[in-house]
Amino acid sequence: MISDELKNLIGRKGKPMVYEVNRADLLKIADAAGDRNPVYWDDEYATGTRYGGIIAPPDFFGWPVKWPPDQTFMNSNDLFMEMAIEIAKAGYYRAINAGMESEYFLPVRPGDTIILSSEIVAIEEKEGKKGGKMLISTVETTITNQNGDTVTKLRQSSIH
Amino acid sequence: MKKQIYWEDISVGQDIPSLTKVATTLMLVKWAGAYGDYNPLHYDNDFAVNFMKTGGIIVHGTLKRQWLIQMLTDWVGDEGWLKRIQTSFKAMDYPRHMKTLVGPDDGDTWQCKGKVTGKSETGGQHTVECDIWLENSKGETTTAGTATLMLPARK
Repeated sequence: MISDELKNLIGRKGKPMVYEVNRADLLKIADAAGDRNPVYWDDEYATGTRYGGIIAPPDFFGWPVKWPPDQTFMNSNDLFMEMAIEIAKAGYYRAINAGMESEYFLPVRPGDTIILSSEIVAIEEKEGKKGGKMLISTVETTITNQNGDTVTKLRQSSIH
Repeated sequence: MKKQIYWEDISVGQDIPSLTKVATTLMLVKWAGAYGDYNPLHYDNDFAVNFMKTGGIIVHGTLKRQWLIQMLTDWVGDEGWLKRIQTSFKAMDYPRHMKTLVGPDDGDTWQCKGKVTGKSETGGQHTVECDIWLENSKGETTTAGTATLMLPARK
């Protein structure tokens, strides 16, 4: 059984975040993952593919969304902050990434403006493996581009 | 130009070409910056041990997932499309520490692996379903999931 405060979080939506995709950011992701796929790196090569130019690696947007540079971990997204505070009040102070599922509809390219909209879709209490209780939260993020098309949907679960 | 694989070339039960990866503390800092995940769990050992009780800093689930994504996108090539990927982070992975400025110490090496579990054709779309997972040096699966990919067809 979860508290009413936690129950009230389900369905809560965060303020949409607007992010301009630039080439340096997507290359940092490819580089940090050790992925040298020329479709991310090589203009001439990428132009010759069906994409007609450089695209971003899947999932490059960041977890849970790309945080603006002037804001630090956990302070940037109203939704995640709100959730962390309520979950801490319920006695759960930690969070660890339990799993993620994405669906990709369209490629993202440098110069695109994407909008990330997140919603808390589930908060459940479960029995942990070693006994004791744990809380699992799930946030769904829809990412659209400047044309209003959905490019990606992401579901991310955390264990608290 | 990489060689393109086609839907007709793929059979259920076949292995996806594996991808070998190593994670170092240096790479985790790079990933934290690139991905925008500044959780100290991935670079502050005292925080990891004392507060998170993970026994040490751990590899980002998102990085392990990105490795699996790379295995899949390398496999299906430019004409293929990763349609869906689901990953569950089952066990923690510990990065190698740096021995020198540029060289990692001994430690784990990971293998990204996958197997085709199904194929189908609906409305002209050629799709392949896979199980995917990440193994550490002991052969333990620390991340597991499924993926759906679209492939070009010859006809």
